[in-house]
Amino acid sequence: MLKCDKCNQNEASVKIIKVNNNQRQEMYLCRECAAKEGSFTLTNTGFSVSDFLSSFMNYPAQQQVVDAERPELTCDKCSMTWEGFKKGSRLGCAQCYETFREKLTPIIRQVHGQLEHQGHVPPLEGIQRMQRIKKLRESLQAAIIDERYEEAAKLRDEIKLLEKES
Amino acid sequence: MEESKNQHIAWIEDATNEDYIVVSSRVRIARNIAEHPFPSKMNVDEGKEIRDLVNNEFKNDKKMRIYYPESISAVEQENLVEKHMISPQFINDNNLVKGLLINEKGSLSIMVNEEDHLRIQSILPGLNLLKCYDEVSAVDSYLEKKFNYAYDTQFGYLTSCPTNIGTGIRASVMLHLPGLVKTRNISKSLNAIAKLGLVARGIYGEGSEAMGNMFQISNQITLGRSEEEIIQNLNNIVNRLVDQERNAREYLYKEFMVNFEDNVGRALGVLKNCRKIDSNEAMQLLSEVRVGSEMNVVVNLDAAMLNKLIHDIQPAALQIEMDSDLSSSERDIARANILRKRLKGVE
Repeated sequence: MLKCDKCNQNEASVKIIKVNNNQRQEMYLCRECAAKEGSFTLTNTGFSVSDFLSSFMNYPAQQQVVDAERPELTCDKCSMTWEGFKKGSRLGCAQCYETFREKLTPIIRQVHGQLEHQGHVPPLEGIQRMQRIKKLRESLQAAIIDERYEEAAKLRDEIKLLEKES
Repeated sequence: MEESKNQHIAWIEDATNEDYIVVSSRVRIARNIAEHPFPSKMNVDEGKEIRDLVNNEFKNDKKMRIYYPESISAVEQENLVEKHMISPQFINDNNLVKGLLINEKGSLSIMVNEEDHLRIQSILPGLNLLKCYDEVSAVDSYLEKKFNYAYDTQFGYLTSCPTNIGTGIRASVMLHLPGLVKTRNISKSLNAIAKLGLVARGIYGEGSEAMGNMFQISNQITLGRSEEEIIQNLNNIVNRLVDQERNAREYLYKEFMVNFEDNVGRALGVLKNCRKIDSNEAMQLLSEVRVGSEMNVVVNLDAAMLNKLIHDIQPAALQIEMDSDLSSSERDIARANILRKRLKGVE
């Protein structure tokens, strides 16, 4: 028989896990001590999750840690936070993808198995590519005239790559 | 103002007799306009601005009907969901100003401010994914010249939910697969296609229930593949499924001919004579009659007529037809009345 951690007399029938940021504490208590332990109610079927959450909010230790933590990453265009995204599974604006790029990347990889767009691109992308190719050609000409042949070769390869893409 | 109940719906009414097994095809793309927050973070004014921007682009287009969702009654909105013109999420009340445009044929619909600013969808009868994509693409390209879409070089077109980024394309096909269900091969087939990046669910009914043996197959992944690849992949898999379905039907007919014909005959008998019938049973019997028609066994009803029947016995359609709120048992009676009326004289 597993004895209650608190009174060490009754049989432990309730397992309580407290999580404070990175600290995790497990306790095995009897029903009486569990009821005395915190602001959660025991029903016949067990605890309700929201009861746990609200009791964590009341712990002073939790408060101090939250204050000391650096401000949460926020999109400066629409004020969406990472927590907000986790809650609603929706992002707030296009800028969010830039703000949360690092955190989103593993999730996106898991959902799609890929990370690079391969489909239709906006027409402006095509125009931008043309402009870039034009600029590179001008640099290539200048490099040849100046007899900077190594640089010219690099530019020529870059142009080839861009032309292949279009 | 046009009434949405008069809207012609291509996939229902224009079905040909090639379209028994593959009932309809659908392609939708999701787009957002760059400078504005996504619908989840938009306020009422911004929503109105987007709605007006989009409506403005089509105000001179005689082939596009502009609807105002706030003026559409709840039951008519439900009916539009039943017709697959809008999604269930579209009618969730969230205080946002929404827009809806549907073309004359009822093959193209644009939802404004659903989960994303724009959801452009084409739905056609039968297996017609490429045609759907062409229709959607034409509108997309047209709007792309006018609006600056939210786009990222790595992630492609940006959407409210990361599951839709990249191409933003969801291609799906509605299939009638009673053969695979009866030969108990449906789970095998659906599990196999799940491994190929597709997702399957029942269309009518709750969750993944497949009332009337109707299933929807769609792609899951939208990033990392081109639109053509995604569509071609779905197309190929659907063709294989159709072959499997035909084989299952042939087997059932050859092995159990009398039972097969009996099922169809009894189904027709009940449909023609019942006085009250729930949607489950009605869909099941219509499925039998659809198989019979496809194989020219016992009965031969047009695919378009069957599509219309399936649609007209759905809850919202019944309430519109009877022009009143109906209780569940009143609907069962109304359903039977429609079935008897439409099938009168059918041998």
